[in-house]
Amino acid sequence: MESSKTWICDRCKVEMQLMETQFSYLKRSFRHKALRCPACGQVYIPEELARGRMREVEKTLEDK
Amino acid sequence: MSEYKDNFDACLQKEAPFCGAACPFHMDVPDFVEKIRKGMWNAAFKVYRNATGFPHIAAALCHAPCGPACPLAARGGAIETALLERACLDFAKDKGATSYNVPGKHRRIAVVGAGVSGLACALRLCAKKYSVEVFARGTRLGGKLWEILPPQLFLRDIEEQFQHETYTLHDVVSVPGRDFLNARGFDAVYVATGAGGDDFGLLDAAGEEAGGPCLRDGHTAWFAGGALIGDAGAYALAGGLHMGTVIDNFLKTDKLSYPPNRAETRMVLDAARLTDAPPVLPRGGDRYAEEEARAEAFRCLKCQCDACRLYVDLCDFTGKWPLRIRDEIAATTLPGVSEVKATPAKRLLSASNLAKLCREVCPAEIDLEGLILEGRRSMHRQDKAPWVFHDFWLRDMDFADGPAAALCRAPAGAASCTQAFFPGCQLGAGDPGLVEAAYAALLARRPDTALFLRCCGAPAEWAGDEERHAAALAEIRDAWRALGEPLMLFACPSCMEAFARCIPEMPQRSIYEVFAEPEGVFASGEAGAARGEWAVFDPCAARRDAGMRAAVRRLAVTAGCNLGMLAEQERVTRCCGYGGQPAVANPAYAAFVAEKRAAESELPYIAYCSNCRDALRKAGKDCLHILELLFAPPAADAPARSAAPRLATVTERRRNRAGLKRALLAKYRNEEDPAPPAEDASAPQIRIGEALLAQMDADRILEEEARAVVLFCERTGRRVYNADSGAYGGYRKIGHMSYWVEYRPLGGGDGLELLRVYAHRMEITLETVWNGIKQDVDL
Repeated sequence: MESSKTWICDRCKVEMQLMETQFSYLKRSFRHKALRCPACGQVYIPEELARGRMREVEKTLEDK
Repeated sequence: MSEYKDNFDACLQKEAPFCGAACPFHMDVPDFVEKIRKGMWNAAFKVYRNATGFPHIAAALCHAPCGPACPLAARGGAIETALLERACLDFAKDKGATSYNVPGKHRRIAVVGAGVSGLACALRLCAKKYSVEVFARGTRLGGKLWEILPPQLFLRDIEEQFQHETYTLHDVVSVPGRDFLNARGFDAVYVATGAGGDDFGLLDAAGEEAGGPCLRDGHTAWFAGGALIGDAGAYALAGGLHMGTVIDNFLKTDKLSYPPNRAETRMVLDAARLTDAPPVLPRGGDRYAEEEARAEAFRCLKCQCDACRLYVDLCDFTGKWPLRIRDEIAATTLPGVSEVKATPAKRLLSASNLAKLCREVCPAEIDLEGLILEGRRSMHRQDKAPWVFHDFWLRDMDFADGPAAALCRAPAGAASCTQAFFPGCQLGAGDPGLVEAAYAALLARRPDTALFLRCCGAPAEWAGDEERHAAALAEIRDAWRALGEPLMLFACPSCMEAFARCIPEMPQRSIYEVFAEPEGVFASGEAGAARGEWAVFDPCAARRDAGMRAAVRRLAVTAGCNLGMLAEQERVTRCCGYGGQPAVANPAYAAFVAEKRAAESELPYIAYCSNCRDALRKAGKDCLHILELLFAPPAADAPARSAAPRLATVTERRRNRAGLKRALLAKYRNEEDPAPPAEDASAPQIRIGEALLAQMDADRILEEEARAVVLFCERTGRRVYNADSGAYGGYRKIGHMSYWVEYRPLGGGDGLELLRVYAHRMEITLETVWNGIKQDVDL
C-alpha cells in the first residue's frame, strides 16, 4: 500500500501505520489491519479498500 | 407464515407431463427428448430401457397413447414419440443391459406364467436381487408374443435384458393351487397366467382394501396381473414392471397394497407455449434419420407448469422454482443463528419486487410474493435482516414524512375540503413542477382540494417493519380524517393500491381519471401535436385498475400520441424493478428486471408511476411520465430521450421535496415554511465536480451527508493529510453508514473542493483509551 507512506495524522503529525483495528457489522466483530495513527489511533480507510475488499466482506456477512 | 407455505402444496411444478401420464410405462418423456436433442443416443436409450424393461418389445407393442394426450395434437400435431423410440433403438450404440451391483436378498418370489407380464415382473425383481422362480408350461418364454411379434425380436430382447440376472425356470404342466407354492415358502407370488388362465381365486378374492386382485394366504402374498386381469400388449408389459415394484414395496413394508398402474396429471400448460409447427416426417419411410429425430425432439414442449418461471422475474433471475424458494425461506427464517443453520434466502428475500404476480399467473394461485413479504417480516422481527437493504429508503421516508417535506393542508380560505391530492413522495421528489401543475389543475376544477404531501409507508412495508408501517398508516388515516375524510386523488398507483388495501374506508380515485373526464382538464378532442407512436407502460399497482389504465390511454391520445401495444405487459403487468426496493440488496436483479421491461418494445414508453419512469429511464429506455406529456410537453418532433430532462439525483430529490412544500405553502396559504433549512453562513463553500456528483448519486450518498463529514473534519481536526496531494481525508458515521470524504482547500481562501466521497457499512470500533489517553470515539 503505497499511500501508507504519504498519509499523516493531521492532529499528531505522524505517519499512518498498518495496525490492528476492530470492525463490526451485523452483530459480528472482527479485527483487521488498517492505517492508523500510532499516537491517537485515528483510522484511515482508502477508497479502494472501502469499495473493494471491505464491500466483499460486507456482502458475505449480509448473506450469513 | 404457514398460511403461505401450505399454499405451496398445490404447486404443479412436479406434475407429470400429459404424455408421461398417458404412457403405460410413465416414461420421463421430457428427459428422453432432452437427451435426443443433445444427440446422446445411449443416454436416451437408457431412459427408454429403464422405463420399458424390454425396449425392443415395448417399441414393437407401443401404440403411442401419449399422442392424443400431447397438447400439440390439436395444433401442428402430436410429438412422434414412437418414431423417436425407434430412432433411439437405431442410433444407440451401447444397448447392453445394466449390471446392478446390489447385495442379494433372501426373500423368494414365484412368478406363474412366462408371458411378457410375468417376465417383466421377474426382470424388475431380479434386478433388485430377489430370488425369483418362474413357473411355466414348457420352457417357452414370451406367451402371447409368439402370436403377434417375430420370435427373434422378443427372444433376443428377453435374453439381452436378463443377461446379468439369474432366475430359476420350472417347467410345470400347471401349478395345482396356492398351497403348492405356499408350501414351498415363497414370500410373494405373481400370477400372470394370461387371458382366461388360472387365477388361483385371486380375481374373486378380497384385495378390495388393497385396491386390486391380491390376497395374503398364510405367509405368502399373491398378486394377479397381465392379460389375466385384462391388460394387453404394452399394458401387460408395463403392468408386469409395475407389479415388480409393488411386490418389492410389499416385501419392504409388509403392507398388502395394489395401486393401479395409472397416473393422472393436473398439469397446466401456458397457452403461449403452444406452436403450430407440424411433426417432422421421416423421409426414409417409417424410421427417422438422426437429424430428423433431433429436429422432432426440439419440437417437443417438454410440458411443465412454468408460469412462474415465465412471468415471475425472481424465478427467472435466480433460476429457482417457487418450491425451492419456499424451502430456502423456511430455512432462512427459522429461529437460530447462522452459525448453526443455513440462511440461503437472506439476500433473495430482499430482492423480490413483491408485485403479487405469482398469485396472478400461477394456476394454483400460489402467493410466492406473500411468502416473501412474510419472510421479510419474520427477519425483521428476529432482527436478522441486514439493515442496509432498506436503510436508504427508510431514511428517505423519514425525510418525506418530516417537517421539511410533509404537508397536509386545505387551501387558504377552505375550512374543509371534499377532495385531497396525494401526489406521492417520489413524484414530488423527481418532478416537483408536475405536482404543482397537477394541483393547480385540480384546484381550478374544485377550489376546495387539499394537498397531502408525504410518503405512503411503502418502504416500511417492504422492509418488513410492520410496526412502522402501521404507524405511518395511522398517521395518514388521522390526517385524512382531520381533513374531513375527503375523496383522495392519487398520482402514484403504488400509493393508491397500498391505501386501497390498508385503509379501505378511504374513498380514492386517480388524477388520470379526473383529468380524462369529458369535462376534465384534458377533455378528448383537443389533440395536441402529433407525437408518433408510443406504448403505455402499466405499473404493477394498476394491474386491477381498468379505469386508471383506460384514463391514461385517453390522456396519451389527447397529448398527441398514437398508442402501440405492450401485449405482455398489458396482460401480466410486471414490476419495473423498483417495487419491493431490491436495488441495494441485489442491484443486478433490479437492473435485470428494468432491462427486461425496457426490451419488450422498441416504442418509447409512457409511464404513470414515477418509479417506473425512473427505473426505465435508468435502463436506457425512452420514457416519459404521462404528466410530463400533459404539463411539460417536449417539442413534438423531439425524440423522447433528448426531450426529457435529466433525472434528479438523490440530493436533488430531497431538495425538490422541501422546495415543493415551500412553494405550495407560499402560493396557496401565504405561509412561510415553519422549518426552513438551517444555513450556516460561516461554513466554508464546498465545490463538488459533476463526475463526483454523479458517482454520489449512484452510491445514494447525499451532498448534505458529504458536507456534514467535511465540516466535522474541519471542526474537530479529525482528519489525515496527504503531503503529496495536499488533500485531507476523514470520516463520520451518519445513521448506520460511515461516510468518508477526501478534499483540499482551494487557493485564495475560496472554500474547499471535494475530491472523493465513499461509504462503508461496517463500523470502525475505536478503542476508548489509546496510549493511555481517553479518546473521543463518538463519530
